[in-house]
Amino acid sequence: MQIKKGDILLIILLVIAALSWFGKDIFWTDQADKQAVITVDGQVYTTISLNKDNELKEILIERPGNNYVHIVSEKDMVWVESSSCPDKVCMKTGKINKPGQSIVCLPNKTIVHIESNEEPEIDDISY
Amino acid sequence: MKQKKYLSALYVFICSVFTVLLFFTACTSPGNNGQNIGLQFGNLNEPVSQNAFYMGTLVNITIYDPDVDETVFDAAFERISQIEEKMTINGENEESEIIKLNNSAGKGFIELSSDTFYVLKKAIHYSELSEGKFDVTVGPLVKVWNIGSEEAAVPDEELIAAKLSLIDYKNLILNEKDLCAKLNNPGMIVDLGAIAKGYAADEAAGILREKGVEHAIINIGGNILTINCRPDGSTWRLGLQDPTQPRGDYMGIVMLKDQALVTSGTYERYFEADGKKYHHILNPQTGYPEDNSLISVSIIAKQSIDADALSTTVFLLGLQEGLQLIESLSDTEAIFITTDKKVYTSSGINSANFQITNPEYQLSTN
Repeated sequence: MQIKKGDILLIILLVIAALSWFGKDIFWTDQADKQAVITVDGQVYTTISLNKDNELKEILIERPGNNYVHIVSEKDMVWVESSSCPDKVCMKTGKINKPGQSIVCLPNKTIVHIESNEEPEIDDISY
Repeated sequence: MKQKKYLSALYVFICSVFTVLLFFTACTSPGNNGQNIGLQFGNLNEPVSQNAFYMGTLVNITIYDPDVDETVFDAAFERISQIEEKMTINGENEESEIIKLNNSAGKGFIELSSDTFYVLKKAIHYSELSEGKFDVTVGPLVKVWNIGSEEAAVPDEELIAAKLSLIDYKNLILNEKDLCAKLNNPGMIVDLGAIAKGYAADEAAGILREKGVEHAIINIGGNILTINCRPDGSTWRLGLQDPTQPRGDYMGIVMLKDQALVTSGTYERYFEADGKKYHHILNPQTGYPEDNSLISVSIIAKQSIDADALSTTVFLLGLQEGLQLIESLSDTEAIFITTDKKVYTSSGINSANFQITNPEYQLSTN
């Protein structure tokens, strides 16, 4: 098989493409990647990447006994739109969008917590 | 021939580059306290964290030692669960010693385990120290307000007055020799809600230490107890919740080692009726949520049981009397936040152990 100049050029382009794909995560993180991690009863249920360009996303978490938590995310915000819990603390929390913030629905054992790949300033929070 | 060798070499090179880059991206875990998905190398020491729901709240234990044996978490949660079962007044829990005690009010003595006796004794101590401003027999009032339930509504004045007559810690009699206790009058209810989490945290820390854990944070519903310091020897950095913002936003940072930090505030557990907020820190003398200048109080102490009981006690005492009480106790400090965003601190608090990070909050002197 004969290697043509075109082949080598193609290989080089592929390498550059691969490097820039991975490189973007290593070198170009001036905008902190943040995501909302939703855990239900101690297990991660899903993760929503929070981004100013995000479209509306809705997640309905069904819990035993006809209970539920309805979570909505739009742009870089996430919130509990409605919930079957008696005290609605989760709904009263409102919209969150900053790493470290969380919404907790205790009766439904559901937590929405925003994380980022930046080192946080604190180890924990007293509330 | 030469070209073939060159091509294989290039091929091997490209594959190696891809492989190395794959390792780089797998390493970036989603921040501190996140789920540890991805590869872990010897020198990437991420703390290990587990959450569970106990005592009506979220319990989080984070261990910073390298090579954590995950059965330590199970043992700690088991102990917390055991304490909840003994001391709860919710539901019909047959195991609860406090429910048995309450059900025998006006009848006779009930035998208690040493755990429960210890917590009751501490609760009486704080009731005495505050001259009844904090009262462990506040149960009937708590039940009638029922804050946190769907039906929470302002109870009738007469109903409140009737419940007030059942509240008096002096009618809770303890017999240390026989480890038993009695409530003098029918209808009396002991409620350990303001102190049991503190006890649970101390016990969980005991288990962790017993199993050789050297650096950890236990967080029971915002009630923090630290073991030792950060692995590099520096103090822990603990945020104080901003009372006006969602959970996770902090107005200041407390730096401490080996101590407990507990906050009592009016901003999370409440209900609204006719445009007014009714929060969960009930005054056992008026029968209504405590109405003073405070929105939160944070206590720093060696033991979490003390910090827990004191946070409620001091909140009920208010700024002046609360500060006086704290100053009279050794190794105990407090940070008060008022409704107009002023911050008052006890004499042991200074810039070495507390910084305000949100300029809307102003440090003030009494």
